[in-house]
Amino acid sequence: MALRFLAKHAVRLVLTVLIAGLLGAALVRIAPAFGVSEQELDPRLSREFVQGQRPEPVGILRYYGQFLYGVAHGDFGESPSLQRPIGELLRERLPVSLENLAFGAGAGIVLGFLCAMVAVVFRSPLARAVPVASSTVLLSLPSAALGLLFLLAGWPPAMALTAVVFPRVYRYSAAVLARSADASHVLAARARGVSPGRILCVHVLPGAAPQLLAIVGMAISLGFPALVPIEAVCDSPGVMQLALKAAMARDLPLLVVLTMVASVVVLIGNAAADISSDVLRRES
Amino acid sequence: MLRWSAVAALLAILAAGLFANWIAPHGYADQDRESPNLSPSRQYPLGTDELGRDRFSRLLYGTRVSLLLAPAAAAISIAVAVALGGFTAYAGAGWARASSLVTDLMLSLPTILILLTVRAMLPLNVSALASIVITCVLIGALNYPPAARVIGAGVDALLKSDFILQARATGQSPGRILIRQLMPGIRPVLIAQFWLLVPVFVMAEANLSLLGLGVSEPMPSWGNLLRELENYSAIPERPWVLAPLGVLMVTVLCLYAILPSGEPA
Repeated sequence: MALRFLAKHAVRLVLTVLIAGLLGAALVRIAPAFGVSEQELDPRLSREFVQGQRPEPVGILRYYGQFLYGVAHGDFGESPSLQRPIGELLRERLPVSLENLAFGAGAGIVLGFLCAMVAVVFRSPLARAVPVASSTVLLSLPSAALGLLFLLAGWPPAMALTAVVFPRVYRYSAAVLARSADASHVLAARARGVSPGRILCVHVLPGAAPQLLAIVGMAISLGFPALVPIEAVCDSPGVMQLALKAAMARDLPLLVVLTMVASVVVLIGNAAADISSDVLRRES
Repeated sequence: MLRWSAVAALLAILAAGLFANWIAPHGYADQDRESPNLSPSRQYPLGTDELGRDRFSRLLYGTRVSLLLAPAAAAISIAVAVALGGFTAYAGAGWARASSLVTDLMLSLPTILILLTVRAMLPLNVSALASIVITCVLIGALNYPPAARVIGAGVDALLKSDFILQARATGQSPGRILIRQLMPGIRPVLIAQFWLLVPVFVMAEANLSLLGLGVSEPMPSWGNLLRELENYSAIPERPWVLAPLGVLMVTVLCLYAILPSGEPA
């Protein structure tokens, strides 16, 4: 049963990435300047010579097949704008983005959960007012502006991601914990004089754990794309900064690979949260 | 009461943007090369930028662009979602599954990267008006999946209801059922989705324009006005450069958050 569940997630992940890659390859293939090189602007070269240099036109599926074959052999192609192998760029920059994601989203999740727990345990307007006000302001600012404000304060880009992830995590987790805290068995425990800390750890958190894990997945799927503007404005050398550079330089092969990489990270985050949440639900 | 206050405040801000031609003391592209980076004065209420353009006038025009672009994009998203929801409701199980698969796929992919990819395919050096249209259509068309999921579920629930069954039994045509029975039933969902999408799209436009892929200069929008943050070292000495824009953005987005439920977010 568990194996079947895991296999279903794995198949879904692979299919989504393959279809995303196909869409990306189609975009590259139909892009206006596909197969055109800067050589064609050189007035010293004859039209016949330039046309002779052009690669043979290939269909979208064949192009995608060649691309997948290359990926299977570790060859992601070459970035036309940076004139470097895309695999090499990924090896250099992916760890930076993953580090930003781990620290930034991790801190946002922890902070969001802590604030939500404090609000549920103390149930005072003040315990709610501070996180609600801060999350409202943070939700009203674009992530790129948050990145610049954190840069201005001299803080690392990962903290800007914390500011993006925290308000969403807080809002959802506060709602989930409040619902769990209103359950009849929790009310009974409170009536019997069980301490707030024990109520939280023994009664509220176990009931809300599957939903909280789903929120972790949501934070990852929200956090990784939010790194695009943050890395771009904070000049953090991650893959998401590369994505913006690729977009500005119309480097579609690089963009497609980066979209696939981002999809894999987001889908793995979602799948991990789904699986652990499902396991918890079955156990309870 | 709170909702009506929010509506009134939003309308006032929108009116200031719409009537920018009359309210703004200068045009958004007028340059006074003799007076760049001025502090606030009677002539320039929020000072001037590095090209000598009046910041207050640009804020008013930028408000117009951002506050009109986001609802237009939200309307496009809702239209796509309704078309897909309606289509899958009538087209049979195979099409419904295919449509659901596409929606799932779109939900799994990071929207900002799809936006970047599609925007990179289109010409970057376009007129200001064309850049507004491109940004609006892209944001609206690529962000439909969450709305499609909710609207699709609403349509599905309505189609299983007794009054639709009765309408079918009385021989009403699918078109008539769609217009007379389904649309009124689904209207509250559409309105709620619209008001939820607008602030999201205000932020999407701001992010895209701040990155140089949205509304292009010299037309101001909140996103490209925020580009002044790039010169961040000067901000502590000159808070008037971005503080009014920041306050306006936070205010407007909070007001939008109040609209659907009538309660503070």
